[in-house]
Amino acid sequence: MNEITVAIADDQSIFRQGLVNLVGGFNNIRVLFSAENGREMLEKIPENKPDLVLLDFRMPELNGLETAKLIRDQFSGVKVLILSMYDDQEFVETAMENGAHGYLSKDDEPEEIERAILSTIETGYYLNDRTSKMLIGKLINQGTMKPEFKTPPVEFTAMEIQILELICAECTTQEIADKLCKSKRTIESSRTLMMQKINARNVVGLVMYAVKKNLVQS
Amino acid sequence: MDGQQTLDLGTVVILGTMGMVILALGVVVFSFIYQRRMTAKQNELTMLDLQHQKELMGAVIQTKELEQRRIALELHDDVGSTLTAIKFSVSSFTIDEKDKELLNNNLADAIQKVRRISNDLLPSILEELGLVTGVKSLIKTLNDNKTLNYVFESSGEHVRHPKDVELACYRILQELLNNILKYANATEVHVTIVMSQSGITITVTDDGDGFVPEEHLDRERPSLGLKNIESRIQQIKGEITYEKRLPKGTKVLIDWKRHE
Repeated sequence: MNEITVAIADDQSIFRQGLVNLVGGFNNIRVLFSAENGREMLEKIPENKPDLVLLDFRMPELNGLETAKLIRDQFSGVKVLILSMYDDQEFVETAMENGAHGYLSKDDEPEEIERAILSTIETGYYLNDRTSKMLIGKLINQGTMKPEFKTPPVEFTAMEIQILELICAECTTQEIADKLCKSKRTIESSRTLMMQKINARNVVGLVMYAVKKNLVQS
Repeated sequence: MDGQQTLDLGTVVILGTMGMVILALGVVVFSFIYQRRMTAKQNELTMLDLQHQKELMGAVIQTKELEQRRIALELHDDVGSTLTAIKFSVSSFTIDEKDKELLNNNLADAIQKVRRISNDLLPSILEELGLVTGVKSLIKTLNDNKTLNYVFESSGEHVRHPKDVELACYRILQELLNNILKYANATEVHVTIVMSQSGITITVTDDGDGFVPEEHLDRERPSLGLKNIESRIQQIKGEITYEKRLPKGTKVLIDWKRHE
């Protein structure tokens, strides 16, 4: 796999420096440059185009939201991950609607940043359990986000669809197992099988697929 | 001679009486004018006093909001970021896993607290994402508390207006919704916002007992909440009207126009 290049924008210098060190330490990931705000980030991208940018939400001059919009319009190949102290649903929704490919809270474990970068480059999106739950309802209601799946149509069994519906209803694996009178392991393995069928990396991919293909009723 | 004297005396008496009457009238007129002037002056003073009080209250609210905003942002940007930076450094420490977990938990707790206090002082959704999203989130929280049934609708353009205007509208709305919950005996509340380049229109309707402030003027002290609303609306040069709905309930209209 090619080396992934990353740029970082955060106005808090201590945090920015920490982030540069952290991300630079990940395997196969290189930090090209860092910026104090969105404006500086946009100025630096043309000279040295990264695969992905990590943006803080709240920044002077140009905040993460506005920067994400402009990156989407001007540098469509660059992926955007927002990394913010804010973790309310409204922030996640607004960011995803405005060009972000993923949303991380600064509350999340630092290791998650590596997962997020890899997943975004590979699948185009990254959401963890918390942020995906926030988006599921909105996705189903409005269908505003249309993820692309390059896989041919896949057949799911009746039980798999049932499991999918329960996942979308935010049931835990144990709850699904109880409802369908199966063991937790069975549920886990059919979930993994479903993910393999559609080439999804995580449950979010599965849910997005279900939503896009109208496999579940809202 | 005698007759002459009598006549003179009569004239004197009449003239004297007339003089007295004129004098008395003069005194009456003078005191009347004086009284009126005094009352006018008194009124003017009272008006000035009232005006002064209003201005003072407006200034108090404005100062409070400014200071709250400063503290909220300082907490979020400074304290919050520093704590988060520490949390990120901890992950690279080579210390006992148990100690690390304890440290992480305490840090996460501190970050949460900072965020909560900051958010109470200045709702971050309002500050960053604007009035419509801020109010939508407020309504969602209220519905989660399962007290009354709140319905929210918004229409118009996606624009941001000055932050002090957005904040004033948000605080007024909070106050109104709080009053409805406490006093109105309502079951359903509708909030609508129409946003445009030229201004903001907010309506709040409920199906409660019905309330217009004019009916509550006789009270010794008008409620602080209502005074607050009035001050805030004056501050942003907006308008607020209350009307009773038929068969029951109240409709409150908040209107703000952009002044160029």
